[in-house]
Amino acid sequence: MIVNLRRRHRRIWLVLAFVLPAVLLIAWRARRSPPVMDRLPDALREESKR
Amino acid sequence: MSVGYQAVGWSRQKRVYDFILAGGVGAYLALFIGLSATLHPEATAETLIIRAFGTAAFVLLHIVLAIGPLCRLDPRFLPLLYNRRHLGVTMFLLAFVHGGFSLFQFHALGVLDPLVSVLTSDGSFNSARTFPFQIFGVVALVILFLMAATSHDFWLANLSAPTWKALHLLVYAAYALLIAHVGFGAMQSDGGGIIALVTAIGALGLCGLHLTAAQRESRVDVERGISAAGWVDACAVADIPEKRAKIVTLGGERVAIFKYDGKISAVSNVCQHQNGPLGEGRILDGCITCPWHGYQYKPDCGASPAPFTEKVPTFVTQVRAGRVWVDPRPRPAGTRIGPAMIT
Repeated sequence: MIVNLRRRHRRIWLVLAFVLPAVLLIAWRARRSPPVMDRLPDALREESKR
Repeated sequence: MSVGYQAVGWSRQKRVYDFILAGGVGAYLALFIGLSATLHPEATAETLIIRAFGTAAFVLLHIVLAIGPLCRLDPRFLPLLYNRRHLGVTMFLLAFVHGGFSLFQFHALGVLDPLVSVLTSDGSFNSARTFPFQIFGVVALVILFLMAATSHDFWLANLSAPTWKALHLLVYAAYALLIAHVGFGAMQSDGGGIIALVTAIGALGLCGLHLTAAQRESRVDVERGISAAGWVDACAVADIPEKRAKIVTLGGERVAIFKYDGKISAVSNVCQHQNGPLGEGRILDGCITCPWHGYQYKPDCGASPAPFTEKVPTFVTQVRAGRVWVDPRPRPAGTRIGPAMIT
């Protein structure tokens, strides 16, 4: 039983080593752009508040 | 051990462990909330609590998952393993507070039932950009709840070891779900990419640790040849430190060969409590003592001293010309076998 358990652990982490970076990569590429206000240069931001 | 159940068998070591754990979690929460309140004065108290408890649970989950392979790579980490379940339960409680406050802040004031709202109001499955990240967190929280609720030895004994182990292997699914929860949630509004960087380091670090430990373990699993008489040349007597063991793999299972008081005895390497590696323990007070939780077995018969009832399989050994030979057929758990004498 313990041998099977060790084998299962090994396989799970081999799968995770591919799945986790893939999930993070997809999530990174899907990042939304920050709101327009946050992208304005400081001077324009001050101006836009008036 | 198994003679009777106690809610928690408190010891000084457990109190120190929990004291350090509570202190560490408290310090993290205070530091996180203090720094965040300074850097983001516009954030509400609820937002700070949600972030602080969520990140604390996530960090603690990484620590919980790192302890196993760290102990395989370096025994100095073993003290962290003794009460790892306390870390797990604490991690669930932190995640529960994170989920509870999120439910209250984002879903309690609408027309829908909050639990319905959390499962239906969030984004669309058709786009990675608006993927409903909260569902990942909810499913992970349910898994963590099941694990925390069954972490006591009572459940290990009543569910049976294979069922309990299978249930607790779900922690890996919960971890993957939480990576997705963070990736499609907090990471989406993280302009500087700090969350992405830290999460990637954590995930890759854990994968690296587990795979390195597995690689090292696989070296122990090299099978030895069986002689015509059915014996296996396991190791030299001199290879075994006094009152400690050498672990060898026979017939696909690991066997711990102990040397003590001029004698050699061999038992299964698997502790009956939580499958701890008996061969990494030592002989204390005449008993093999599991390094994980201190379960004890007599080396000549593999049975726990009275009044305890655990038993592990034993193996017949011989010492010839300074080498230890083992019959690879395990005897039934608790069978007394006279130890081989070192001449």
